[in-house]
Amino acid sequence: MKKWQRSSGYLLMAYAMFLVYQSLQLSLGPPGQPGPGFLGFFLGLALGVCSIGLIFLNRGPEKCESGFTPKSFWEGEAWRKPLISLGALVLFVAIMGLIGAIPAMILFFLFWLRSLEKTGWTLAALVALIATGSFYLIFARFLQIPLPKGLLFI
Amino acid sequence: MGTAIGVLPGLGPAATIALLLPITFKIPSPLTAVIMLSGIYYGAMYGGSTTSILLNIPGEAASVVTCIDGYEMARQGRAGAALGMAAIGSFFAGTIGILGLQFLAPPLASFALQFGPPEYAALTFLGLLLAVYLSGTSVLKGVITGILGLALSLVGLDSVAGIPRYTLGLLELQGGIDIITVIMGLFGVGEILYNMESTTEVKILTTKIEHIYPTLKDWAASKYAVVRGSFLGFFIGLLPGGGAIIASLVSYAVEKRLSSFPDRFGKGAIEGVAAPESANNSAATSSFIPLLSLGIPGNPAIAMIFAALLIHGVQPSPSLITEHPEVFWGVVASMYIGNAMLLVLNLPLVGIWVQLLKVRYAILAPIICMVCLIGVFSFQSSFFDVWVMLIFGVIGYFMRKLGFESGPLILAFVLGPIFELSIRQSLRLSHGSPEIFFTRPISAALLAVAALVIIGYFSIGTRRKKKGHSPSS
Repeated sequence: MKKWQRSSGYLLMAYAMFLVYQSLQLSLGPPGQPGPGFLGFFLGLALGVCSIGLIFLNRGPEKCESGFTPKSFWEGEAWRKPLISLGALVLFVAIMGLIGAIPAMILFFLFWLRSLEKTGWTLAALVALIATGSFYLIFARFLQIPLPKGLLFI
Repeated sequence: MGTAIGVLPGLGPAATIALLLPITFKIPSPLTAVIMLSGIYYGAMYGGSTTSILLNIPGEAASVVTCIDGYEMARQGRAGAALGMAAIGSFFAGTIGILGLQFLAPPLASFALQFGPPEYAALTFLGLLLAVYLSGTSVLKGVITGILGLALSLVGLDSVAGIPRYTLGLLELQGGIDIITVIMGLFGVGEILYNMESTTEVKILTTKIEHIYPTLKDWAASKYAVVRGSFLGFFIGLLPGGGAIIASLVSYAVEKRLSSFPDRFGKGAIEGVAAPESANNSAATSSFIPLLSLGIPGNPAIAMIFAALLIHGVQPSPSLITEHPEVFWGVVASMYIGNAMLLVLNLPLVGIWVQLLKVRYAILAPIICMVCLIGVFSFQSSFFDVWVMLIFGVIGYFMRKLGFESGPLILAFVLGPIFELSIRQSLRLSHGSPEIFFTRPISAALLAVAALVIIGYFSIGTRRKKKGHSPSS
């Protein structure tokens, strides 16, 4: 866990440096006329100090009481499902423009329920159709929000 | 809708309000839109107790404490009494909150008309400080997320100079990052990704709820807890960053401290349900006061209502009550009606809420994700916004894993533009001298309170270190 906390500290430090650099590019302005980079500069400095604090507080090896293993960031393969879920979401967004929102939604629900939750085909198909139909009715019909139509104009 | 959201774990009122913002675009009146969204917020406070009592899982964060004694009561076959007391206590507390809103907000708004840029800068600074301090276990992480929120609010065109900043050269970011995108990402997708790690199946303790009305003995035991919880929750809800979660925690701690039999707490004490549920409802209502009288949202859900008002062309500020009295008084009137309806509906419908809990999370999760995706897309028909939301989803996931609270980030994101503009205007007025913040009485008083908060934190931390506790616990 400490390793991950330190890594987040390094990432925040990088963002802090970006903030400071960009702010100086934008100009801080004279004190009587603060420029567009004014607040960003001080935020960058503050973030830099805090990230150093975070790294410092998480220095050294993991501490654990005797007989207990330190808590890991992911227990076993707990990272799998979030990663696959994220993959499904990314894929949905990527193909929504190509094949249209409705077919993409059906595929998304089928994939999620079958691959991640191991539900049966009947339940997965039922949920996919009902959920997609509801989204279509609410967003496309009732709210009149144009959902992307793909190459098949669906 | 609010009760259903409160009942279902995994989707809180802030994310729900964000999801429903696109629906409010079709509502011509800002009043109707705000009433609907407000109803969802305080309705969720009612609903959260159901899962806490029946599942030992809080339906939303402000009902965490209710799990302690509520679930024990359910195990003892007294789920009905716990649910009934939660509902009745919430009704009483909600009424106190509405009365406070009705009578306190107008004079506070009149007072706030004297505010200039230094006062707004000091007020938003105090609000951010409290949000960070009250956010979670680590103040350092709270400060970091607060700074991140402020930094993200700077992305886009500078309001004074009109030049793009921190946009990485992307045209799509010149309009800034949308609050809906951030909230849906952090609280919607991020939460789902985090919950996907857990494989625990939840089991409802009982599906048959009997005797939903508390007995006379229950009333005798909890009447003062309801009153104390209501008033405590009201005042805590006024604080930015305070809100329903802190109110319920403090209320529970106070009841346990004041009880003649503190050992009963944790073993099914009805006061342990009555007090936090009263406090969270009262806080939910009183948190509207800073929004409607000062134009300062105090928590993420209220920040979404702030965004809804802006979208409908109503600028939350001290002059909202005078310029849009129909919005203010309409919201107050609707809260009286909503509060009564929640009491009338929730107790008889508790069986339906129990059935709702049977919907597997496996089915709810992809539906919530899709609502987030389509909801964000529908805002500006922009794929870019959807990708940004997914990025915030990943950020939200890792923030949860690493113990960073999202609340301060959202609040800072919303308050950021007000904070920056106030500071820049103040420094222009004073020709660059920061003395202006300390020479104006209201601004100085607010900064003095902020200084007390900081001193208080460090002195408590030093005392705890001497006793062997961590300073941020």
